Amino acid sequence: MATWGKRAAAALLAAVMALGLTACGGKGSVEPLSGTVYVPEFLDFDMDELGVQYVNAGCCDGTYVYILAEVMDEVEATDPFTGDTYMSYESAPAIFRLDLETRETVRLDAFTPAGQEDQETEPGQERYSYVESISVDGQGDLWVTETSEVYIYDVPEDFDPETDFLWNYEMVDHQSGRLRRKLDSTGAEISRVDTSGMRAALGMEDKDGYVGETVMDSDGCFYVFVETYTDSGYDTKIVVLDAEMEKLFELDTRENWGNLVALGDGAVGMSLYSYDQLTGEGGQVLQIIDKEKQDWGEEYPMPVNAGGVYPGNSKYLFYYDNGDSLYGYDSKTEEGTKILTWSGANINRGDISFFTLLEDGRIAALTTNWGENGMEAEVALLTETDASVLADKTILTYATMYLGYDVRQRIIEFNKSQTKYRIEIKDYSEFNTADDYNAGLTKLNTEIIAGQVPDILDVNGLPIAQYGSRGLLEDLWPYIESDDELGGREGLMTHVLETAGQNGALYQLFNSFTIRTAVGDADVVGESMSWSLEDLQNALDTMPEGCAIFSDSDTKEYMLQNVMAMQMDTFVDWSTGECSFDSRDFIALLEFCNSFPLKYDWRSRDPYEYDDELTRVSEGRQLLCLETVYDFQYHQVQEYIFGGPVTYVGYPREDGGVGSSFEISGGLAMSTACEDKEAAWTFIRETVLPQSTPEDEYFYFNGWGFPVNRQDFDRMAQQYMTPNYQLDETGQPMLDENGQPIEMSQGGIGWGNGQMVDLYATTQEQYDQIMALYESIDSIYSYDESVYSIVHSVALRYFNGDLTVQQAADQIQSRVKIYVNENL
Amino acid sequence: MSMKISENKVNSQNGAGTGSSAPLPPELRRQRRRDTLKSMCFLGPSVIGVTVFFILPFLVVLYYSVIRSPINPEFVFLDNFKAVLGNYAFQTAAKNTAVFSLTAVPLAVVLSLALAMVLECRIPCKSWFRTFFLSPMMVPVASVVLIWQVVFHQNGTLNNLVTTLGGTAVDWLNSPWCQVVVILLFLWKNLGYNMILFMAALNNIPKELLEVADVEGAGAAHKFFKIKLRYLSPTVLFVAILSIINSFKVFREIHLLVGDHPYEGLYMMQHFMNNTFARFDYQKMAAAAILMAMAMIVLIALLFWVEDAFGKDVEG
Repeated sequence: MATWGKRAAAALLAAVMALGLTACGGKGSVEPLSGTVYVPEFLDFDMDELGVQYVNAGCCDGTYVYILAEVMDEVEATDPFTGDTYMSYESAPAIFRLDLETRETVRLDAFTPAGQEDQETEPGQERYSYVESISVDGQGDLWVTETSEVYIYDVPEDFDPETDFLWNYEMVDHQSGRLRRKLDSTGAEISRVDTSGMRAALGMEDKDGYVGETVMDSDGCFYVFVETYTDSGYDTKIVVLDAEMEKLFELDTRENWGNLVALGDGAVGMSLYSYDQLTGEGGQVLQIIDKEKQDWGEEYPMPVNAGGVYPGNSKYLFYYDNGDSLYGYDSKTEEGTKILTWSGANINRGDISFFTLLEDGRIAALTTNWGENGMEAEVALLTETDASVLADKTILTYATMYLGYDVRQRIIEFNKSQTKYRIEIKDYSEFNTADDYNAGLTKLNTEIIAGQVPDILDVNGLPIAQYGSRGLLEDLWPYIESDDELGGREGLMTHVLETAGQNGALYQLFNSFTIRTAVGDADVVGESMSWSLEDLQNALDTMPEGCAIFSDSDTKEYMLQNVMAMQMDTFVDWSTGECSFDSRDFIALLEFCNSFPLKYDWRSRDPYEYDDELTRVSEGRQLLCLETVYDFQYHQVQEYIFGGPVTYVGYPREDGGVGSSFEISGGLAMSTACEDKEAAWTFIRETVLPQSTPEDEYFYFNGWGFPVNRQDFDRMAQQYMTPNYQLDETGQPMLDENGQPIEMSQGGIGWGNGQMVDLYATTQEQYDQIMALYESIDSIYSYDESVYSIVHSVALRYFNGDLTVQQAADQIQSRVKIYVNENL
Repeated sequence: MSMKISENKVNSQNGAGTGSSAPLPPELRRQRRRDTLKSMCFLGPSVIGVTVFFILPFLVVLYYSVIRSPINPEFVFLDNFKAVLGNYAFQTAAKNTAVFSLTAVPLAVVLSLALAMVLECRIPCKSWFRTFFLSPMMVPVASVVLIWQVVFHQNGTLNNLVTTLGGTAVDWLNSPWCQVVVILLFLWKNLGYNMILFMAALNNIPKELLEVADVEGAGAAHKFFKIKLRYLSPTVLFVAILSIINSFKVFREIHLLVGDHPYEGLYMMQHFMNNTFARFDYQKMAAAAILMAMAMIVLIALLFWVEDAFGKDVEG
């Protein structure tokens, strides 16, 4: 009985354990979010209706949002020749007030820019004024900082501005003025402080340096960032002036200075990267400028990736960005509290012009971005709401180690357009620390192991090959094949996708690619797109004495990195674990890299001597150019450099393969644990959807390199291949003496020595050559960091003469083989 | 005979607890319950600690070793074990660890015993020697590694000596010599402590037996194998187990010397464990851990058997 009791207890323990593990494996992607979210309400601010050309800045006092903008005012003008009057448009600064309760927007008509109300422009003068910033104080009064510039030209006495132009004459003087004005809620001036004397107070003239950011504390003192020119470069310091512009003290900026910011307690601080040379410890901090001690004060530590720092208020000392999130900093706990994730509120952090946390917990934000029709501005009012409002949406988690502007915008637009799905961004770079820059990746991996697998992964910076081989990622081919709108496999540039795949599966989808290759004169290197080291040596033998293979600044290490990036996989079989780093082919590559200089001595070059690839190739000092092929036209530049037909010969490879590679970035992957794969695919497929540019408009590919979407690829090719002809007055092409239409240049590329090549439409032959290169490539330009680290460490010892090439190859083989087999 | 006694004891205990005999008085029952409760209170923390920190983690490892992956927890039974056993990295690690342990542990036992016996003799400066052999225990690992790097680097002290004498420099840590370097390191660090243990054990051998052996004309070898070694066998077992454990812990020094992926000969089992853990390949790691635990159990059982066979007649 006792034995049975023990067995039962053991079984129970095991069952409890198993249950616990089952819970770990649970998936939360379709569960509603817990906590709160900020729900945006976009207020009506019709720029067209208000005549706004663009928005400069804004502020909010909790009742009104004030927007500083540039408007086109209609003014009456007179034709100097006929004397007729007509309506013209003139750009002028204006302030708008948006009532958060009534949602009404009015222009503050009582506001007149400072430079325009009290001074007349005299002949020979050019006067500009603009409003730099706007803020609102606790009493609801506005503060604007305005700058006026006056340029004085040496014009003759009979100068007539109606028939002559100022820029025909020499500018003899430049005056600038600066004002801080206090305005009431209608825009009328209450008072002003002339800060023009700031340079004088700083003891500086224009030529002495640059006066930068200026921030005021609660006592009205100015904290000015100043850069002064010195013989050896420049010095930077903070100068503190009182309200009467009298200098109080100055501080040398510490190393790695950042921005000045007004703090919630009325003081001013500066964000900077603090580093202690004794301990070797460092990190991002905000350091107070202590006015009493006239010295640097207390340091407040921030996360290593903390970005922009914003003024504080009564609740938080200051605010800062970390990844896509906004944090409020508490000086007591010396920790940040996450306020919100901008993309979660459908706002692109890169578009924010200003934001204010209101007393009632709401956030007012002004966003601006440049769209197809000029600047677009939105005023958003974010209200903290229980996350259950999103309960009817499928939540997809998007894991990233770096969130760029474009991806953030795509996600926001996706979230705005979808009624069923919503993407929540999890930026793991927020978890990096000064001690461990991979802490974010470690956290992601730990969460994956614990069963909290993201639905969509931005593969940049992630071990995609390992994830794929562990069965973590979904093969995207079946999704592509069943997507009629994409056109299945045929709708995409299949070859590059197949090359990027693993064992026939495609784990990431990217929207563009480029080609890394080496280009040479076809007469010298031949016409084959692959060659061996012996072929290379033979080609080199035909060149003048002292000819370098690539640039004379290429070093052993640089070549090793390139060779490994292009050819590492030819020495590793990741499916069987077999390696051939001790083969004759690899030894030959090591010897090839070793033929380059160990280090390039920049001091040996005459800094005034002009030297570039064009010069070196034309003088027979360089055999090949390392190139990234990113469009159909650059081929002409190569032909110009080499003075005739070129061959994309690539790096030498001993196995007969092609020494050129595809280079890709920005791929998206879907995890196998994703519960709503249809939803994830809805977002991922947008990566390769054709662009919506109309047929009759210029096709500008929104990406770097060649499009992966075949339709876009073909449109790009067609556009490059379509010649522009000189047209006569009837719109017909003009003909040359041979009766052929005269083709116009589509642009050109110049060199520092004045040489320039005009670029024309890509010929069918040039197109075919690039397509032949595309079809021949069988590798991706990437390498396993760990393998490279082993190869690099051993190869360096060979390059330094500590090992023979055979010893180096044996050691690399021994160490890499173990690593590769660990990964099987 | 002893069997019968124990059976009787069991019977008498059972008899007391069954209905065939008179039930225990309520006071005695309460007393027993209180005793049980008290003993559970004393045992509880240990039981909980062992459960949480040993049994449950072991069960987790067991679970991980029989599933496909944490994301796809499909039961695969022995597939992970088959994969690990066929894996070149695991085979290399297992072979190196076995070679190292089978070489370093016997050397550590034999040499430390020899040293202890030498220091038992009447030699001058005994205490100096004792201190000398114990001193490596006081040196921090980082310093030990630094010394070894200075000595065994390709441009290090030893190679300078070798080339001065007309030899060819050897890349000690990246050649088949690498295990010799680490065995030397292991012995240098561990001999002193083992030696002290043996010296204590040698002092405990009954002097009368040795005197009788002397009187009866026994030789030194006879006395050593027939008397001393028998009395030393528990210490030999203890030192051997300690050395086996230390031989696994030599990874720390190796890792500091040559990193995650050293030359093949220095790739130990803990390299395999650490690296697979770092890549979150828990299935492979779990299967390897269980295989290693089984090997350890067999090895230690073997040692106990040997000790039992050799030393049972001298143990009390």
